[in-house]
Amino acid sequence: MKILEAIGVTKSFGGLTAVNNVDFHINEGEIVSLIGPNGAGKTTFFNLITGVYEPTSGVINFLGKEIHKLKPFDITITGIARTFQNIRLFSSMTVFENIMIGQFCRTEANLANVIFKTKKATVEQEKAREKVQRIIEFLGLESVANEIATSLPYGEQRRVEIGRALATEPKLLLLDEPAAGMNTQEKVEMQSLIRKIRDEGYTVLLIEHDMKLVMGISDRVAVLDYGNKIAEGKPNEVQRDERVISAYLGKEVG
Amino acid sequence: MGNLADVLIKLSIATVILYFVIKILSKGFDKITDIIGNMEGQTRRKLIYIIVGILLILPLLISRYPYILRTSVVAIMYVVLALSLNFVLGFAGQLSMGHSAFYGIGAYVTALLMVNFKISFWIALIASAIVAGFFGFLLGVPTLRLKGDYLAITTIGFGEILRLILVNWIKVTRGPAGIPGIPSPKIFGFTISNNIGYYYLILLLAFFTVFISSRLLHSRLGQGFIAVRDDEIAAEAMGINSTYLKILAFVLGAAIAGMAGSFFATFVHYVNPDNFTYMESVTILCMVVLGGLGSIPGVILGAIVLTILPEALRGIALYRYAIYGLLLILMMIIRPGGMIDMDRLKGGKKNEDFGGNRSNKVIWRTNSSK
Ligand SMILES: Nc1ncnc2c1ncn2[C@@H]1O[C@H](COP(=O)(O)OP(=O)(O)OP(=O)(O)O)[C@@H](O)[C@H]1O
Ligand SMILES: [Mg+2]
Repeated sequence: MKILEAIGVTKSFGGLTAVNNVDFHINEGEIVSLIGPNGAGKTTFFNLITGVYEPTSGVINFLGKEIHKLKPFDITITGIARTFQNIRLFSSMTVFENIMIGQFCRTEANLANVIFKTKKATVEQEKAREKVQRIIEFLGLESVANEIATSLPYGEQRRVEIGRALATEPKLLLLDEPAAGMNTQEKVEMQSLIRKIRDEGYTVLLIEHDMKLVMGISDRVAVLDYGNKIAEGKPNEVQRDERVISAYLGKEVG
Repeated sequence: MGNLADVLIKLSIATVILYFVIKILSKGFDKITDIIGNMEGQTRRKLIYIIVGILLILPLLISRYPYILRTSVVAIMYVVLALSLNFVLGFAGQLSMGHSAFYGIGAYVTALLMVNFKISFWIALIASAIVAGFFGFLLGVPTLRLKGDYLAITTIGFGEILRLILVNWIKVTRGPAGIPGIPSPKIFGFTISNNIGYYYLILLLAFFTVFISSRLLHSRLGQGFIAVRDDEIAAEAMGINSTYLKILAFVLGAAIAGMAGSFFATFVHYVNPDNFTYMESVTILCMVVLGGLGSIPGVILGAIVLTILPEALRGIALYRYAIYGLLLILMMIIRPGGMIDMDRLKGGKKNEDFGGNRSNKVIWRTNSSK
């Protein structure tokens, strides 16, 4: 079943077309990777899906509903969560508090509820804390749960961002270069973490430059170059595609 | 020319003194906040009970010193005002520089209702909160799309417009002459006639404000405010409607400032537009920044220090705002997290590199409208 579908999506910034007439879909339960050279438009495509930008033209459907005109917070509520290429953790919060923010949109206590600390607010808060605790255990962040998140090493910050996204209880998780800046060991761990996340029932869309990781983990790969989708298919098919080799791999080698 | 040199020398001396005072106090406050941060909830609660106890018996101890008593009342009123701005500036991270407008609205609503319609203080108090909150909403809806400096400029404009209305709408406000003869409040038939009574009245209002601030801060909404303050884009990506939260913070802050204004009107029995100038907004802003953005104990302390300091230094009262300016600059350089850094209170291990440069992002970020 298609969980997300983009039809003819274009985004221009003035004269520059960052994403050009892209058709793309993700099936439920898949790990799909979006690759392409620097500046190909991958992050822009994420920003279109998550409502940071509205497409210049085209349609994006999620679970059969048009989402490309929604605000980012509404899109998160419908079930898409993301991480950022340049980590954006809340800098005055601990790891636990950061992940707890993910539960904001799944709780509903209003001003009166929180001021009078009604039963509803307390119960809901307690449930949210338990969920966050489970996510922290899932990610192996127990030992740093009470540290200020931005004081952690890079790799752990990336995991906290993933935890925060998971806490919004998404159906589709978008990861923008989760392994950037990691060493080989950490990359291997990230790969098994992403697989573990998929096995929990999430669908994953991944942007990643590390080919070993991408080829090892993806069910399908789509390739962007100058905003155009130039190839799509199984990892080994894409790897052999002439256009991909010249546009992407070619550039890296030569 | 001699005068100018004199002023410059005095200001330089003040800078040096302030610099060292902040440095030394910082060390002390860090020790204290670390101790409190690592306390058990039980011990912390006991400490709060002790402080509340002292506050409750304070007027009986100082009733023989009317000047000190009166200053205490004013200090607590500024605690309420600073905490009300803290909703907007400390929690939601919105640089609002017209806060005295809401304070003024509250004061005038109470003055007009009590003088013209003989309405009881309690109803006037609630009406002041509602009207001020409503103006917070009116101002918030269009302006909260603006960021940083733009928001600051718009809110300054709002404050000035309000003051000009107070000055020029002579039919209702009596203009610069102000409204005299505002009666004292009554509780159960007793009239609050002396400063001990006013002390307990404003203390009640302060407890109310602290209570709401702290309940809010530890709730999903409060954490939502902080998320918006730290990183609005990330907050929206987490499913937070940042516009809604910012308006909520604005309305709450405005309503509570309105209550402080209402108290002020009955306390001094007279209001005029000069009480609600831009400088008043700046003073309140300084209290919040000095104490520590978002930190409830910090803001309380900031308000108390900046009420008592000018009283204690009457000799240089002329330079008050120059010193506030210096203070803000020095704080930003030496100790951007404020005297009591909100994050230090969280206890546990801390990365020192990140110890003090977070909460101030509100102020810094005003320069990068992203
Ligand atoms: N807000 C914007 N305004 C103008 N141009 C933009 C904007 N965002 C992105 N671009 C441009 O769009 C193009 C695609 O950028 P994008 O960030 O999507 O690339 P990317 O594929 O994520 O690259 P990388 O691998 O380096 O992260 C680039 O040329 C970039 O400069
Ligand atoms: Mg990118």
